Amino acid sequence: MGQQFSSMDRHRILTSALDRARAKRSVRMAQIGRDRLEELVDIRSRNLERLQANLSILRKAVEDAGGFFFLARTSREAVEYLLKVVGDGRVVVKSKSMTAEEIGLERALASAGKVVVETDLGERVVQMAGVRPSHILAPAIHMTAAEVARLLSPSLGPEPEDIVRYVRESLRPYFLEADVGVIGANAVSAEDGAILIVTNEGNDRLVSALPRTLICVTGVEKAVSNLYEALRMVEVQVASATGQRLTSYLTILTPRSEDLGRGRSLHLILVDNGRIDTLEDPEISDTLKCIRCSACFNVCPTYRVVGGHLFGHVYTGPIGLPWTYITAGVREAAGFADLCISCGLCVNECPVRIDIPDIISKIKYRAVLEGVYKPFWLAANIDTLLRLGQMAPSLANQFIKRRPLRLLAEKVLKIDHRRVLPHFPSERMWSLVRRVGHAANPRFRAVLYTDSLIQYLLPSIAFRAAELLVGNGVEVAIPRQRGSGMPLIQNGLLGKAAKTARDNVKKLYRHVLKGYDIICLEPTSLYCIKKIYPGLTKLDEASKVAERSYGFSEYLVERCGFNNSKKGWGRVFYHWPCHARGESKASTVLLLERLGYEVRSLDVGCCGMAGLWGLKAGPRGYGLSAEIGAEVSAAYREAGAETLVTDSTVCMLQLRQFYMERVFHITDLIFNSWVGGGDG
Amino acid sequence: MELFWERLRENGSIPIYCPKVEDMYAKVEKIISDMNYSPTAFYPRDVLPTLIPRLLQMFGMVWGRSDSFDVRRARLGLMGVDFGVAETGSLVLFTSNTVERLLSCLPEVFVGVVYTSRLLPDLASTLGYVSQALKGGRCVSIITGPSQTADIEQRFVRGVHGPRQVYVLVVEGGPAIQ
Ligand code: SF4
Ligand code: SF4
Repeated sequence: MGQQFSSMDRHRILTSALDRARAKRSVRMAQIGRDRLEELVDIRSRNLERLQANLSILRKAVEDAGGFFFLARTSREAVEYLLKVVGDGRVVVKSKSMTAEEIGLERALASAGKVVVETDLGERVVQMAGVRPSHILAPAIHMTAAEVARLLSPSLGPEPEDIVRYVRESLRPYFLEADVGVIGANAVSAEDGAILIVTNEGNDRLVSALPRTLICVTGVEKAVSNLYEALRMVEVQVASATGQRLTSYLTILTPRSEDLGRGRSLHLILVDNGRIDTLEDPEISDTLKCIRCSACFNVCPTYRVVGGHLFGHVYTGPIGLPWTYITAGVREAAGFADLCISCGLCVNECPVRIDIPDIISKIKYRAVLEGVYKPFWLAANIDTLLRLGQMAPSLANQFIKRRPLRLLAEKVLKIDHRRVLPHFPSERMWSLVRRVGHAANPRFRAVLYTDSLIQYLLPSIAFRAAELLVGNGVEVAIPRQRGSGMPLIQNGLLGKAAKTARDNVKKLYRHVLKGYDIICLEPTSLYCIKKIYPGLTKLDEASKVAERSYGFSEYLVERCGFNNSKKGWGRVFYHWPCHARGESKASTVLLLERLGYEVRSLDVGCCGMAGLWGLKAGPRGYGLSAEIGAEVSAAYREAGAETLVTDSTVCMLQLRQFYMERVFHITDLIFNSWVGGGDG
Repeated sequence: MELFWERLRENGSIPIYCPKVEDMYAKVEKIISDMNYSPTAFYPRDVLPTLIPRLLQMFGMVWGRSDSFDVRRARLGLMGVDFGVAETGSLVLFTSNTVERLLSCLPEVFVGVVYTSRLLPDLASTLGYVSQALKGGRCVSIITGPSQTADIEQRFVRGVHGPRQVYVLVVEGGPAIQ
């Protein structure tokens, strides 16, 4: 008996595998360089624009070379064609192809009485286990060697070497006797009618060399104009997926290669299945640029915890959601859409810079409209609720403090009763900030944008921030404002979010015209203003506001040249909020260093709060949120720092849940340790 | 050449330098004897005209064009390849029938022979040759190290469906690229 793995172990196996993949890839991606990626983005866009043309050129090239070309509008058409080609053939060997999964190839062939043998090692294992792959590149990432061995043969030991030898030997006869081989494609060159396939195992080579009939099934978006573009695509795909310069094998073949055409035949099935319509759907169409490298999987906080069995349908992981929407429909996509917490981390990894969370929020919006996705009620009403609480703080605090009332709140508002919440303050932000002084000779003028949480629950942060800015030569204005609308966006309530955003943009723009900069206290607000508002509001003013907006630390460091004369405050652990990670460097780390701290931090890792998401009662809210946060907790403990600091009040809520008195907001820390001036 | 060498090692291939064509015979003999003279398949390709007769003389085995069943039994496959790619440490193989290709797929050990005159700097510079080869009905295989997987617990294992070991004999000189 090999050991069984608990869900916590599985989570650890998955995250460490993803971290390793990420580390390996980042080295290689740096070598690939920006220019090559720009070129690829261009190649992808250009070829999607000319997809129809590519397809007709491809058809001609394939047919001229003696092959067969079939454009399948639906999965069903693809499967029917495939069954016809397989005909009397009995044994079908295949090498991993996501498109084959998508069209349900294996099930269709099996119910027609064919023997279907998967030859990719990981994929073969999940085939034998009768489960779905949990990751597109490493399908059996969730299983231990012992489990795999037991599954394959009772007499097999848990050594990966033995398992591999066993698979090699047991699959050989199938290769040799197979009537039909099914492969996928990593890219297709229309001009040459050529298919490019990469593997490390070499199974694609056997599948494509041995059987009499060869079928290649792939999505229409894989077609590019020529061999050069196809090679470029494959190169980056390999780099971004595994960090290799090239996989062990890259096979390029056409219907005229070797004895294809001389007693052997090649069928190329290009699957549309919603893709071609998506080209006309600008909110979603960027998905088709995807080169399936799975880099986005590595960083997704929820995927890292739950894996592909929950986070996915046929297609898994972040981009798996849009792929599911395109190929299987809105209902299937809505089934796991709540697991995207709009953290934005995946965007930073994607080699073709697909704005995955943006696409997902559009899908959620559509799902809400179609009634197949239920947004979190609180998200739509949080500002109202906070306003009410502020009107009667002592009453509201009873609801936060008293257990029976908390249980009631859990029932009605679906706020998990275990969540530690801040209390409503007795003094409102507006009266607090009136006490902020004035800068003597202001060098800058700026609006402080606080967002709702600070405005209603933690106004002292606004007060301190304003004082600090004034002390650094900034004249500060705090006009009336609305929340950033992130909870609405997270929940697919884009109509309402757009209204909020437009309102904010208009108000802020008035100040921009008067020469004010915008300083966002919350990284999430800055993320909204910079990354989301321009697209969401479709207002020209939005990009102008975005241009003038800064994070709090960024402003102090970059604009004001903040420094401190006293150093040596000891070590702190900085929790880097997801929405601040788009920047190439963390301004807050710089700020802390200038302040005189030794800073430790983690370059992946979400606290798990994700706005209101972590408030949500139940395992898919509070429960999962705590599990996600475990990674940051572990890093904090390892860092050997007393103090935990962050610049997002949302993250603070989560961190306080576990490390109450040791968690500080960046403004607290500056307030306590800033002596002034500095030496440079 | 140095880069090619370094990259071959990096991707798990075993490069062996042969200053003269004659050195190659000794190296091949060594590899074959290390494998206890297991069934070995050669493929007669014009890339290395002198190799095959000499090996025939030494070991008396060679399998011809369409006889795929013998390739199945081979534990070692040996053939000249068309190009080497320095930047990736790859061997580029153009094959005109499947037996030829299978020689580099089925056996446990693959020995590829490449002349220094056939080294190209990077993948992009193979493009013209690749496209020519495809037009001429070839299949193009670019081989970069041994067959491998990390599917089981992320642990690295060689020799899944293809060769566990890849020797690359780099022979000085050779015909110039046309
Ligand atoms: S935005 Fe965050 S949660 Fe959503 S898919 Fe991307 S990484 Fe995952
Ligand atoms: S979305 Fe981007 S990162 Fe994710 S698989 Fe596609 S190309 Fe790779």
